[in-house]
Amino acid sequence: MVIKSSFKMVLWAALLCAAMPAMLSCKEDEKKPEEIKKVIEEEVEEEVKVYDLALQLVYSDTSMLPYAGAPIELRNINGLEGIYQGATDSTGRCVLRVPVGLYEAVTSDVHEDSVYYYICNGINSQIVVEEVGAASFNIDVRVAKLNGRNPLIIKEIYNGGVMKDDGSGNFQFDKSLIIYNNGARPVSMANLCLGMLAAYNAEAITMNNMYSGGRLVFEDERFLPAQNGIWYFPDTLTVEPYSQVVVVVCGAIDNTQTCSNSVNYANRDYYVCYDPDYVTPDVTLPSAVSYNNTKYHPSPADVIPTSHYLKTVKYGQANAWPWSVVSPATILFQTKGMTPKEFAENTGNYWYIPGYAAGPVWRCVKVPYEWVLDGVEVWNAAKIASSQKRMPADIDAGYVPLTNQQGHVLYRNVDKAATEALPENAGKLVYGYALGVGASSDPSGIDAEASMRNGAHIVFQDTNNSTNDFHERQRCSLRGM
Amino acid sequence: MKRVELLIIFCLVQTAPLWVKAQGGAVGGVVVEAASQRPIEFATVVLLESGLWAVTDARGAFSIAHVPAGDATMEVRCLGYAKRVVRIRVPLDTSALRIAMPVADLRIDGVEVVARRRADEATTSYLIDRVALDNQQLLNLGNVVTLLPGGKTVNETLMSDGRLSLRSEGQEKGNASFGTAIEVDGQRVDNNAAMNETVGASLRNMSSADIESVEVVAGIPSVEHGDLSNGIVKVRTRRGKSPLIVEGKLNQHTRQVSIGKGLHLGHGGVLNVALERARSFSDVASPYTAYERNVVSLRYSGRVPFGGGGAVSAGLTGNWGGYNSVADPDETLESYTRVADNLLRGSVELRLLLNKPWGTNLQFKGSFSLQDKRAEYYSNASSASSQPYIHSVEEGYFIAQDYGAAPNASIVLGPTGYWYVRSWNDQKPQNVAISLKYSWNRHLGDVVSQLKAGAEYGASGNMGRGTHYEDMRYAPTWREFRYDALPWMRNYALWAEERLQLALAGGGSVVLTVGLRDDITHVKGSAFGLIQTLSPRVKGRWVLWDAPAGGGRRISLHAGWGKSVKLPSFQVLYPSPSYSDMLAFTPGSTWDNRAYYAYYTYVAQPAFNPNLRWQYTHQTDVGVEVSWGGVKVSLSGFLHKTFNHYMAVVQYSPYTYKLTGQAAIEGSGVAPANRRYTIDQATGVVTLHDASGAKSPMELSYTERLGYNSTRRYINGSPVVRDGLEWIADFAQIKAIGTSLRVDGSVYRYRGVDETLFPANTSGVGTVDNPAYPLVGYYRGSSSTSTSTVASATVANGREASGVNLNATFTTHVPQMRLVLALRLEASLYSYSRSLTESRGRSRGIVIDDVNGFFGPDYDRSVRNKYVAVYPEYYSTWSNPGQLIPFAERFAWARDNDPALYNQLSRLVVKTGYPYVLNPDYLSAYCSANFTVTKEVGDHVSVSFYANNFFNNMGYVRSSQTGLRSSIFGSGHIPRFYYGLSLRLKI
Repeated sequence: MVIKSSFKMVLWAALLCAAMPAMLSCKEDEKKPEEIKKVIEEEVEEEVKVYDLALQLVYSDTSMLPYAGAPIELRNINGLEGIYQGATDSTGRCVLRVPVGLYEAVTSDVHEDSVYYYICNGINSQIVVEEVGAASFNIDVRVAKLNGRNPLIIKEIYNGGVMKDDGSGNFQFDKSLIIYNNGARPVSMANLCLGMLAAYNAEAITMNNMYSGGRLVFEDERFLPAQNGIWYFPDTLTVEPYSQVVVVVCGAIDNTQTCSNSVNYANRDYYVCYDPDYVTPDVTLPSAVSYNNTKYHPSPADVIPTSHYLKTVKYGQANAWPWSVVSPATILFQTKGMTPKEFAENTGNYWYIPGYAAGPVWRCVKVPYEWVLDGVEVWNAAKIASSQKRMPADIDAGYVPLTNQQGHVLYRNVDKAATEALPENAGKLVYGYALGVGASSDPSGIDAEASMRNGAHIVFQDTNNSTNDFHERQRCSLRGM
Repeated sequence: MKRVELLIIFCLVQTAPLWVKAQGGAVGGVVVEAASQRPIEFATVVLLESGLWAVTDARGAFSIAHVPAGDATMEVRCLGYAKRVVRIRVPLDTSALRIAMPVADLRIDGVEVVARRRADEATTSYLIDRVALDNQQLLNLGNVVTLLPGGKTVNETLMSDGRLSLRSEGQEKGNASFGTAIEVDGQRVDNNAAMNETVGASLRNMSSADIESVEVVAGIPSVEHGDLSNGIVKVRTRRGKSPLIVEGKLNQHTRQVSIGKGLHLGHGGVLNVALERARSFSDVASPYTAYERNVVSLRYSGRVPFGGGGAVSAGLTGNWGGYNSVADPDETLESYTRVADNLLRGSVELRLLLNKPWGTNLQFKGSFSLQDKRAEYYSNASSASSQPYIHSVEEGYFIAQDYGAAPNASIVLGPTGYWYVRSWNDQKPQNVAISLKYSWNRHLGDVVSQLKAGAEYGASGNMGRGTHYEDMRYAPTWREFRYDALPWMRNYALWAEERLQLALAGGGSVVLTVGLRDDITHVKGSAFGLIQTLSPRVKGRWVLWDAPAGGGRRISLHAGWGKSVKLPSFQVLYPSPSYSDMLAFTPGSTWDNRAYYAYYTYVAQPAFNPNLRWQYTHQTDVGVEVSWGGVKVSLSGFLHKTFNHYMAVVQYSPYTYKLTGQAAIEGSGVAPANRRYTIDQATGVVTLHDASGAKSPMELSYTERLGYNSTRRYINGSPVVRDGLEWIADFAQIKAIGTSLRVDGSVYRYRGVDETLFPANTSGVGTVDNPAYPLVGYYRGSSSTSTSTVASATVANGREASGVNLNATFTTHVPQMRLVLALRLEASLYSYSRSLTESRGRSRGIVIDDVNGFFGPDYDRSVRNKYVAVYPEYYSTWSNPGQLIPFAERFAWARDNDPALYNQLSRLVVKTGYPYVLNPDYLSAYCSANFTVTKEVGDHVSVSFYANNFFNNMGYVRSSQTGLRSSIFGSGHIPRFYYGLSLRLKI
């Protein structure tokens, strides 16, 4: 039987040799053993090749310092999936490790410090990571710097009046001002007040008595003298972001029926300075105790709800609030620790213009600096040489000139950098502003009213200097232009 | 009535012993013109002692019978000729006198360009003749005081309506200008019927070209004149034959032309016709702001064939003029103002020379005056909102209604848009007066007695309609007050005066005048009823010496005392109601700007004060005149104390009123277009009605307030004292240069401090829960100086002032050249005034360190440059107004214990406005020089030129009150540089 077992082994080897090519030929791309090992090694190397990408945030507002924790989001825009997120260090730099490709980096944040908050948005769509190694790119961040502590500002002042239709003179019973929330958050304020500083006009000779040794006499005591009377919102006022509140000082009716150049104030959203029932505590006659002059303060249009009536505390002598038709210095302030009524009725807070009779005609109340939210100084354009400032430099360092009786208003300039920095304004801003008066115009070139009608959010400039912050505008914005 | 009986008895006593006159005779003669010896007709010849007079006829002859024997002074005057005074002895040596009168022009000696002191009066009296008036070129008679001693020149223009006021200055209590009487040809010009002022009469509408002379009695006037307290100014117009006189005057702001002639009519009469046109404007660039007067005057004087002699004169003067700005392009669009100042005055005077044992003269005067001071205003108006036009005349609450719906509503809503309003203020003051005067001159031994007695009646009223509007649709807040519905004011007077004169050896004489006057005033319907007062006046003169030797030597002394009562004006006797309106309801304005306001009206009828006494003045006047060699010095001093001058104060009565606002309407559910309102007149509750009928009427909620209604009351203030000295020194003319010097001046002092207690300020706001407020403060002493303003609380309650003025006039008269030049230096050497705060000799105020203080040491006069505060003496609360609580203690207590009360009481404290208010004000000396020249060219032409302040003094004066130096230019102390020219033609 020996022959029979070796015959079986040769048969199995022959079958195996015959089957081997069949087995081997199933894998068509089957490489050789050396080649198989190389392919496996190459595949493992492609998945882990990343490069350092340093992203530096550069803020458009040079007053803004870089800070740690600004988020950056990086997105590949040429096919690969993946979103990378990182945060900056205290120098505004963030390093990410990413593979080669084309990326877009976006940063969007709101940063706050004690006074301001900064809405930061930046995008760079041209980030290229190549095999050469580490890459470094800047992201230009546009910053909208907004006042977090005092977001309410005076946006527009209309006090000069217009000419009457029959040519008989001027019509100045239609004064108003507009308060604006210059921030991205709603603001609620109680005890919000309006006041006007002594002297009524910047060019008045009364101003000579307000200065001593080249400084305002009250500068050291850090108060501002508000003359004749103040108005205050009776309830807490809430203003939505980038929205305005119109306060009608005189003539809250449809003045255009008589005077076509004037303004129609019969609008349910407007607020009115109307308090004919307030009685001054010290009087010498039974009449003229309150601001009840029906020519200056006619009963407001009945569409305006009584919840929109501002209240007054009158301590001076007048039967209408004598807000200057030429050059008023207006302040917006908030009383703290007491109501406006308690504040202005307290004889201990009275102050009299030096050198003038200590009586109701020259009486002012002392408004502490800390209470003042905003102040605007308007001067008579024809009397600049003889005008003197009523506000110290840290409230308002400049002035804006007005030529009155022509329907002109004082309008705040747009903060070009901040407004353009807001992402929601893209494509909505209207340029080509042409409503300035003479040399006085908005340097930003942005037509704020037209842009707001377009849905833009306007941020106004507030550097506490009305020379730079305001310009003289041909028409009141409430006339629809 | 007792007083009237006394007067009658006084007269009878005089007649009881019929003294037989010593045998006298007739005096007759001829009056001729000195140069041509032609007889002069209508010359008046008066024998001063006996009061007998005559008028020359066509042959210049006159004759007076029954002249008592002895020395007599004969005065001959005629228009256009210089007055002649001749001393005669009766019976006459010659059968007929021949009196030559030189023509009054610059060729004669004794030309005076300033006021002449009247030496023959027993009181201080000045005469200003035509030459002085021409030289000064007066336009407005009110400025005649510039020619009195110490007087200051003002630039003449008709645009200012200054009133005449003797021996007093501005800003003084006691209504001095109202108390200065003015008489034109015996007819009083008074301002009693003026509704809006208590000041002297306006003299702007009187012709200044037609005046012959002005006599100013600054001292004690005769009892013949009543209803005054400060002296009288008597104006005489030209009467008599005269050539045609054409005069033109111009200065920087005025043009004046006048023509006058005395025509000789047949049968012994002369008609004087005078026409004048004067126009002044205030701005050379705009001649439309002008005031003009056009005066026509006719006066007849003639003889009346009556026993002893008689003369009649009648006059009629008319003026139309005023102010008209229709053509003024500076007015707004079509607006204009037209103010008329038209006048018609007439008078008749009859003088009869009785020359009987029981009477010498009888004079009858009647006069009337009609004025039209109607002003028309046409003005442009516009409004965007409908304004309430309040016409309510009852007390209560009224709501505004549309004019179309209710044209007679108490409150009408005015229009919106543009329109014109035409209104008038119609004032037509009128008065009528008649008087009878009887005089009896006789000798009682050596004493010459001149007795005068008379009776007067005068009535004045105002026939104007007051303010009224053409179209009631546009009439703003206004209530009708018709002057013609007011009663007339009637004055009756009886008076008697005795003048006794005794000649002494050496040429001296003694004169004593005693007079008594009884004034009765009646206003029908006035709560004051019949008002009667007595004014006694005494004056005397002692001429020590009157010798013609040595160039004339004369020394005389005079002294007098008198009481003058100034009856109140209409403003005080019959004051008009005043209305106060409080806003009570303020609904919102509709779509077409209409707001139906409601007001609470309070009708303030001025309270009748049964204790009101009549204002009177005690005048004391002394003086001395010395003439020695060629020098004449006269000195007179006066002391006037005015009692019970009229003052207006307020009286408070508490009340509550309701306020309703738009808030009450908001929740009603009635649509704005359907809202209709009514208000209850008594309760003030507003009811809202729904015009659609869907909702029933609902009463609106309200808040109640406490307040005070105020009414005006006239009371008497504290006495006011004025005293002073006036002097005139005339030096003899230096013949070589024809220049004479006159130095005159005055010293003047005034002091007026008031001590009356009156309410003034209020403090605090009251509600029904807290009815203590408002409080009322009661203050002692007011500083007000006029009855038009109500006394208010002030730190100063009085004032003292004094001043010394000195004038030097150099007059150069060259008769050969017919030229007069005058240089007048007016200097104010001393001027002091000080506001006072004092009460009953004690301090009235406190000194505070800074203006916010309320406590401090007492004030005394030595304090300088400090703020001073004055507390009210008392205060009262709303709930208990009758209780007066002493202020000072309570105030000090409240500071520590009741902050709320302290806050309100502190509002009643009054403080000086500036620290220098109570400082004495010494003004440094200043002066100004005026120059006038008059030249006659031939017999027919005369030219005058004047320049005021021709050195154009640009110096400085220093005021010690403020310590400031200010320029005298334009300050009002001296007139601005001014000049004028006038030309006179006599044809």
